[in-house]
Amino acid sequence: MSQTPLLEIRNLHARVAGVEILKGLSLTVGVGEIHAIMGPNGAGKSTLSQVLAGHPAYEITSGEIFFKGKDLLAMEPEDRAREGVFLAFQYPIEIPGVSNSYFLRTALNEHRKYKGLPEIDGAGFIELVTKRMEVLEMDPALLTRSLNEGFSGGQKKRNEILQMLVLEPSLCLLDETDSGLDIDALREVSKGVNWLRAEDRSMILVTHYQRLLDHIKPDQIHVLAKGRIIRSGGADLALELEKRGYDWLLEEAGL
Amino acid sequence: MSGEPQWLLELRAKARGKAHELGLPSRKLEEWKYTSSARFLLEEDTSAIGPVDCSTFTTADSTYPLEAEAPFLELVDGHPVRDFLDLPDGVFFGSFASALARPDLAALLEAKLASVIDWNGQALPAWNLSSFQTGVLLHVPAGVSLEIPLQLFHRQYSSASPAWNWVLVVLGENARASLAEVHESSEGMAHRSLIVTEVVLGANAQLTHGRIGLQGRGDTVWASTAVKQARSSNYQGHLAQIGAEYARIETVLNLAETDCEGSLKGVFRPDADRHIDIQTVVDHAAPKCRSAQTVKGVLDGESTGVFHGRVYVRPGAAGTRAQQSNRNLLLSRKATVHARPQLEIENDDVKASHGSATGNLDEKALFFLRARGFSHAAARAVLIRAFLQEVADQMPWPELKGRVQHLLEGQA
Repeated sequence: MSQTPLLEIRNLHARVAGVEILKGLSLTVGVGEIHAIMGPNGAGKSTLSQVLAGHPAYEITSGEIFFKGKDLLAMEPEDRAREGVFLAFQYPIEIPGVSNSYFLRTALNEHRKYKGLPEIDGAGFIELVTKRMEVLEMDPALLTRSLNEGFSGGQKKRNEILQMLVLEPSLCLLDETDSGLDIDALREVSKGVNWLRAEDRSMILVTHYQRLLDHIKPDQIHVLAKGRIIRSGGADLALELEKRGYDWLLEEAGL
Repeated sequence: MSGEPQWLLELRAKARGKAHELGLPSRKLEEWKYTSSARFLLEEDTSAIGPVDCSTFTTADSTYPLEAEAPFLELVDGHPVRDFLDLPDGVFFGSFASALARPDLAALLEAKLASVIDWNGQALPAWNLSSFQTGVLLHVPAGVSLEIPLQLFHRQYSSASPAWNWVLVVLGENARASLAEVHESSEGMAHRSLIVTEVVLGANAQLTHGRIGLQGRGDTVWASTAVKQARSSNYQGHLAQIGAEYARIETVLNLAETDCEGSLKGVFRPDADRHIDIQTVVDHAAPKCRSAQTVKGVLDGESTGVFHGRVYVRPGAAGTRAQQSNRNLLLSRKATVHARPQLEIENDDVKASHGSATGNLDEKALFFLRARGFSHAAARAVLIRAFLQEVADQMPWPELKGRVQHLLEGQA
């Protein structure tokens, strides 16, 4: 493929609070591809998400990340977001006193400003966000409430996906978005994610479970263990993991 | 004022004597532990000034009202720009000089002036009483509801001498009014001001009162509000202190008769090496009164904040409900806040709560907002707004509120 990959991670080492979590992780995600990252607890899946989004607590000790050919690690978190990296948080933050609509509109306008576009006005924003909420079958009343305050687990996750639908990033990172969701919520969240699938948009689904992959078909599946990717494969790998667990892979990798 | 009546001259002389006798409060006093009273009153002030002839008005009227619809009076460098406003239903809002020219208002002034603030026990009010240049009286007669909000600007453009202003608000029985006092001054100078506002609320009267400090960053400000409430009256106070290098803002609510309600919502926002001291006293002297105070500080740089809140529940004040809370947000590791919420209860039948908490910006929320494309500064502004919401959002003057919020969020 002659096209520059959307994301290229080379031999990444990262630590938090002095403990090395990622130990030589490499991953390439092409434009328009969907990748799933699976693996046992403590493998470094969430660390990878946080590092990509630029969380200041994680220290990169070696390795490189290129996003659209640019040095991602040199960018502030807000610039990564404006360039098109979107992390759907595993544990969405509650911010009492900030309304969902104010937050979303400000975020959207920050992105538009960065791209040299005019700010969206109140009416235009409401029209856009209402359409996106319909995709997720979200209650419009959630728009006027404080950001995630008093939201159920499912509402919080849907709200993350709503932000994704409004901001239309080029790389969607879903960090265990499926965890804690019931069947209906999972279906609606997946519907939102699939709605956003596009030739110029890539996704990384970080998940424990096969069930998300029933709804969103990945192009590639990677198994992350002990801070490295120890196996990559197609959709059949997920089924095999579902049946056999991770131990056999860990043994094969000598871990 | 030139040609002051005898009673006022005598009152001023008495106050001058009291001021000398009391001396400035020392740091040994709990309520003056963190703030130096000597900053507010310099030696030269005590010898040089006395009653000033303010019959000549300043011509500086180039400034603008914050609430477009609200009538306003303006004191510039301690001098009134206009003598009084024409208001309906016998409402008077104007200088003491013009009030003294009317027999009914002269009698009211004589009866009420200096009847609320403790100038017999505190030097700064005594100094102010002896020295204030301009007084402003707002009188709303019994039964009158003033629907339009009023504004009073304390403005300073020259740094030559301090502005001493005295404001007296008298609401008759069942009267209602809203008054926002806004302090402004030119940037880049070191103005000083000493301002007293006394409020006398008749039975069932209701006042919404703002003290909004938007001074230049070099100013020294002492402002004290004292409120005396008659039966079933209601005082709703809104404080915002954003400007000044060194400021102390005092509020004393005296719930003197049964069934009163007193509320105070305050916010202070020092940065750099500025110092803001917020003092509140709520005195439950009668049964079945309710009070609520919420004061929030946002501190940046190497600034210092002080919150000292005192609630007294006197022996006869059965059925009191008193609530006080102070929360502070430190934006910098070098900012300091001294918080001292204090309850003194001398009655059993009381529901009272108080508390204080100080913390930093929530790093998780900050990262979340940045991960959604907010700049660091914008993310901070959003979190400050959220922190202050329950106080700053409650300000009843929309345009003033908008400007205050903008400044509170740290936006230029």
